[in-house]
Amino acid sequence: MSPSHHHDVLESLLAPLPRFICGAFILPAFLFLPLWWHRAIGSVLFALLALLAGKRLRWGYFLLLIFSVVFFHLLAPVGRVLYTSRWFTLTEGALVNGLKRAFTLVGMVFLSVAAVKPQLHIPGRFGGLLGQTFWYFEKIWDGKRTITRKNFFSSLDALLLERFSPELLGGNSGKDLREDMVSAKEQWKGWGLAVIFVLLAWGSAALGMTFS
Amino acid sequence: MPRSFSPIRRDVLAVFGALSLFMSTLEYLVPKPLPFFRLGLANLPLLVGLRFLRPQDVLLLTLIKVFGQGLVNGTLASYVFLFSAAGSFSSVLVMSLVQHFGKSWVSLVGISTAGALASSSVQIVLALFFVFGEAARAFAPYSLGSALITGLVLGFFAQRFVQTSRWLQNMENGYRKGVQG
Repeated sequence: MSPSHHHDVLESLLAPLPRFICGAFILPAFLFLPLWWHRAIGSVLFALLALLAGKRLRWGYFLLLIFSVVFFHLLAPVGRVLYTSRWFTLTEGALVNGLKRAFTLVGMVFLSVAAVKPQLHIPGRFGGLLGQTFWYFEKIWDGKRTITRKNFFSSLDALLLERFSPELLGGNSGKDLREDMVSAKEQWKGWGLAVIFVLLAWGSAALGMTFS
Repeated sequence: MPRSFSPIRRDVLAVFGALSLFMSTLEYLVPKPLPFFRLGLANLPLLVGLRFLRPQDVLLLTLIKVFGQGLVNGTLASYVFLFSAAGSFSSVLVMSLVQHFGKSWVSLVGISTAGALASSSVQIVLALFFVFGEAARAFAPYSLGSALITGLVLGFFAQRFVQTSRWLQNMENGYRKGVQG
């Protein structure tokens, strides 16, 4: 959706782990919001968080997603008729269902984009392997300028040969190389702020359910 | 993950996973002709790895690809992750079957096309339930049509890469030695 391109403002306040846990706890609260416009507001707030997290959002993609979800829901009329023509019948139920579904999907993506950082440490041996993968990813990414569109395969092959020679195979294994990037002390930074975010989200969900 | 996991196998999987993430990010940066159109370049390492990786390593590489993309793109906690995981695993399953039973008479182009169609079919079913409802049937032919094209294109890319890449040859030899040792 959006590899990071800008400064992550949230980085100094929230470490990747509390940020991810915070997102995981906010998500069900978002899904409890009863009305479509509640979810639309939630989506806008999550989009702001994603922007603060330094992510680039493809607005055209999300607008098209909202439009297409609503459009396809309108094809199956439900509830009160709002407008009718020879070709098309606009019904309230279909419109509301479409908007609710569309903003739920878009909001979930924005929340996820704001909450998930590549530096998130996944525990266990699989987490270690993933860490090693990210380490190698950065090695390839650093050399991306040597890849040309005209000789794509040969330049990619040259880069890979340079960065991953056969003699090095097996030399870096058994260690999660991301451990160097995030120290143990830093891992829980910002958990208090995460709790506040979660409480705010659940408070909003409770208000929404009470007054709708 | 397997208990006896040789360092070389681990390295090869990590490098292939990294290449998959790299291709995925490259694809993100290239403008698309249509908003929902994806070439699926991230599947290239999987496709070329099918020829020599053990089945459990192919599954592990798929898991690395799916989780890695979820982390890089930030979609790990959203429906996009579900679509990506379901599409990737169904595609790998079908590609492995075609590779296994097709043996020498199905090229990488055929394997890739079968995988793309499987992935697209599963994602249409998911879209029926989670996104568009019954209306997903309306765009199913377009989705399958685009999967056919992307599968063919990726298959040709993979074929070319296998024929010309010295790095891939090194990785394959290293992996085979690692597995035997």
